[in-house]
Amino acid sequence: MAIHQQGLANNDIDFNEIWGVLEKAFLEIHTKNASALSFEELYRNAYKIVLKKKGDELYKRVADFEERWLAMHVRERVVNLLTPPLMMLDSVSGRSLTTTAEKKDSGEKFLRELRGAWEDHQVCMSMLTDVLMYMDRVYCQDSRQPSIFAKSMGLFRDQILRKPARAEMPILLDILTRIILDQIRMDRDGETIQTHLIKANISMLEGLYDSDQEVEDEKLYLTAFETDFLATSADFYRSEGERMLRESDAGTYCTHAKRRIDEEGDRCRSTLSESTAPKIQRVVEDELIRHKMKGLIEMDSGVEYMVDNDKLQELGHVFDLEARVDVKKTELTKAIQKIVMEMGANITNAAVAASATPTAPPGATEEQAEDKSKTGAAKVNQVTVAALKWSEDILALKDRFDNIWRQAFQSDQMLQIALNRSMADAINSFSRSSEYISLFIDDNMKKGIRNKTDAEVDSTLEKAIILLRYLQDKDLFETYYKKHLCKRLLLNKSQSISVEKQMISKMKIELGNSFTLKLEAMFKDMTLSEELTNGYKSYVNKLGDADRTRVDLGINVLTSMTWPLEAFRGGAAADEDQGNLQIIFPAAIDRVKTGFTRFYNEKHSGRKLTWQTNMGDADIKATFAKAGKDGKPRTHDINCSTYAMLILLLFNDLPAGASLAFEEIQAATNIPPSDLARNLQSLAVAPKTRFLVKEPMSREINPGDRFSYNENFKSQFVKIKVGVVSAGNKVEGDRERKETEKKNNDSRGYVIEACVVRIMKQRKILAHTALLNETITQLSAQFKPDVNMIKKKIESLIEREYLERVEEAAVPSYRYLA
Amino acid sequence: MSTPGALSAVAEKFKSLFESSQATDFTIVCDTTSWKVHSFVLNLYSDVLACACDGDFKEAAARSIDLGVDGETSVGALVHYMYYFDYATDDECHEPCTLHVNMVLLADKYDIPHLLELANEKLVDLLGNEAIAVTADLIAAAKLAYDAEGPTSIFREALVNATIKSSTLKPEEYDTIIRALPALAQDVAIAMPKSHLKAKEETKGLQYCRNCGTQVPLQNNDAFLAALSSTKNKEKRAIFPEYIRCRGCGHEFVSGTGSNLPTFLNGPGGLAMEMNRGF
Repeated sequence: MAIHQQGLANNDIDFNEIWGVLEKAFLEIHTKNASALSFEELYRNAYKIVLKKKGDELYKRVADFEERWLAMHVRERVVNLLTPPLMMLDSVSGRSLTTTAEKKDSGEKFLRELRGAWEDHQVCMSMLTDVLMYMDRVYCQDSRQPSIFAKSMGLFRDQILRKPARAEMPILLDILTRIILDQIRMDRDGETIQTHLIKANISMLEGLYDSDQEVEDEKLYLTAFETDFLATSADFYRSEGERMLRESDAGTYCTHAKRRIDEEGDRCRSTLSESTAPKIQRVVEDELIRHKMKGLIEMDSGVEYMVDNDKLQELGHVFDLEARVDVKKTELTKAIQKIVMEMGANITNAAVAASATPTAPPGATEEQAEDKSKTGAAKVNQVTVAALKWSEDILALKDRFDNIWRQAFQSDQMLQIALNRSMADAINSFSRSSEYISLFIDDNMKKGIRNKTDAEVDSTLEKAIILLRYLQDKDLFETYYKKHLCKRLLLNKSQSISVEKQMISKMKIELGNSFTLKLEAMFKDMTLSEELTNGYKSYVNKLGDADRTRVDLGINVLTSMTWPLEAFRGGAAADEDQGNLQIIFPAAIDRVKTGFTRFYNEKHSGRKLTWQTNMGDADIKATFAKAGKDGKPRTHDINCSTYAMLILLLFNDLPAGASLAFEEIQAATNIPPSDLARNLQSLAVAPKTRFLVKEPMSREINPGDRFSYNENFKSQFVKIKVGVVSAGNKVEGDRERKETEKKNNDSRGYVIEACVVRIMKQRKILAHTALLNETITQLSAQFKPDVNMIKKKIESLIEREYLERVEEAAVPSYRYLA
Repeated sequence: MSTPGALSAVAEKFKSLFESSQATDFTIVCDTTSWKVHSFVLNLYSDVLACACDGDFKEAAARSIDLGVDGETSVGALVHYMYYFDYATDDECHEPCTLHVNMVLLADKYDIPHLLELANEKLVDLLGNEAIAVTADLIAAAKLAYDAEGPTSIFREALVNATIKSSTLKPEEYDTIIRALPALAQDVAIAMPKSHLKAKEETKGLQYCRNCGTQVPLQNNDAFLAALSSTKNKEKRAIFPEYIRCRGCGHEFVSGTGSNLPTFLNGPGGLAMEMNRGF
């Protein structure tokens, strides 16, 4: 078998002859006439040259060839399309000479030609690369030259893009950038442009590098185009944003900004480079949002307007916009907080105004108000109504912003925190909020929950809890709640005990066990009392004393510390020693009283019963001689206070026509004068329950007035309830409130002292500020302690030698003295 | 994950597709012979041949390439290699050296790295570790290699070493080849002093690691010996009195001969020996 000898034996090859073949072929390739060329022949020739170590020569020749080709054939074609409408852009005055349509048209022609030149160049160079593969692999690698393809791309950059288009003109690359930016500007203004042309030219810039080293960060696209693009866009959007703020409303602005951001993203995908999308969006965000957010929110049609008019969708846009640029949504948060605070303040002001409108002069004390019974009652009522309205309004406010938060703010956590904080501020900035909230619950317990389904009741209770959650002075609330609850329980005003208990358990969940401890004790007392009453009844029955005339007794035994009984004293609170007064009971009543006392002492030895006669009520049957329709005697069931009963019983024993003086009644019953006056007012002045006749007839009860049995009493009702003036729950008078506050402050003082001692006992030595902080933290669940008060309490503890100052400490500190 | 056997199944399929000319879409022509081949297979092996199949030149349209300049035998071997992963070196081949050098050149020209490796291996095997036997084939092959230069460096180096060895062992053969190939004579002249220096140092107790070239002193490596199982210790010391362990790479070999430790030393002691494919 013969082995073919390769034709390489002769060492000398004729370089020029071979290059002649190659050059001819390259020309054919560039004139798109390559189909007749033999790849094998061309490859073999290039291979031979490189194998004979003439690679560098070949490389140079190819590069020269390309450079000549680009300079002589390609540049000419492209530059020819720089028609006047395009070049007019140079001079500022030239702008007006060309119409947009002309500019667009010539721009497109230029872009098309340049794209063509670039694409041709790439196709040809990839064919050349195929032929010169051996040179790339052997020569370029050994001598660390860029591949011939990369080299020729650099040539394209230098020969086409970096050469001035004509003498005294900027380089073609700058013209290209300007034309593309012009086209984009037209696109932004709503013209339809040939995006694929721009895209093709952009890909060219992306395929070229600033230097032959082909550093990834130095693509021509980045160095020559993108910076310009971002800067022009910033200018464009800056002025557009300013114009929009001036000329349109906030809603439109938001929609527009959002559209612009999306548009720019789309433009990058369809026309420019994906990699620019985040950068340009950032520019638009900066110009249209970040720098304009404040202005946008404060516009006439800004956030406040949107909230006022429930423009949820637009609020949503504002939120979206700011969320893009700021995770904290600072501006929106600030604006919303301000609005909540304002609206809260409005509600509070309205409540204050509503409670102060009636004729009674501002600052009228409770006593004065009660003197003028009717206007006073009206006033009390009005204040209560104001309290209810306040609570409802605050709840409505919360609902409203919750709704906005859910629908427009995508339940954003930052905004939730902000909303909660400003709701709390709005509620706590009102000094009577604790009382109003308690009143709100009180009203619902007495009336509100009537005829409501369980679910509705539950939602009402939940509302109360919501208000409570924001409240800072929970101890003050507890005081009021206890007072109101006490009256509800003792006067049977509550619609449903189970709902009351539900409320308590809700509070327990929300505020903790210690908060509801005393409230629960009240319910326990009520239950025990019921058992006691029943037990006493069966005890009496067992005695076999079936005395029909015997008075039935229902009793509530109340643990003395748990119940805020001063609530009942009302305006008569001045009579501090009232409890010591021994009321004189008629024999029938006294028998029952002593009977129960005996019964109770048998059950629980060592307990002392104090009778709160001022709180009881009684059902009595009274027969009036002429009460019937035709003047016949008629029996009425009268429900009245214990005091009223005692008064009425006096008249039982009185001969017809006789009368008793105020002082006589007082002497006979020992009822405190103020209570007596009030009860007499109900019995002798109030038209529907005028069982007694007063002499002289006037509204006020004065010492020396005389009272007699009203024979002519008439009423169409069988059951009559005697109103007790102070029975209703109402807003406290100023004096009362001061008292409550004082009491509250006192109890806060004890709590603070206890807390300080507890902390010091644990820590032994603690710096002043640390102690303050710790105390505030521990107590914040109950109330917000006053720093001055804490300081005073610390002083007092030092005086009493619980603590001492640490002399040698660097910072003021205390030591616990065991 | 590859399924065991998948690879060999594909290899079988290559052969059968070639033998049946099934699904072929391209022709390689060489003088009077032509081979029906698959452009896919050409793509697998060579970017250059792939360009011929898929580029914008005449060959792609004609679906055929004329490799006449490369010689029928060589091109036949190339085609065989592409389908059988080897080329024939049967007994009928009277000029194996020339064929291998031609294959080295083809592999370089068409950028087929594995073929280049294979052909070089075959050449080195053919030269062996001993002094050379000069044949007309060898001289022709050497001439080819010296003409082409670059791609044949491995073969030329092996040839120089073999020539130096034969200078003392087979002086006539040495004479013949030196005279036949002036370029080789130059290379030998350049390499000779280095080779002598090495031999001298080895006798002086200096050795070069066969693996990394570090100069190491001639001495027993106690640590190495201690690692050998104790029962066989004495025996081995007797047979291989001079082990060398390279300071640079840890390679172990026997002094003077340069050969690796025999495999029986790879005992359960875990002294796995790296087997160098030597000269």
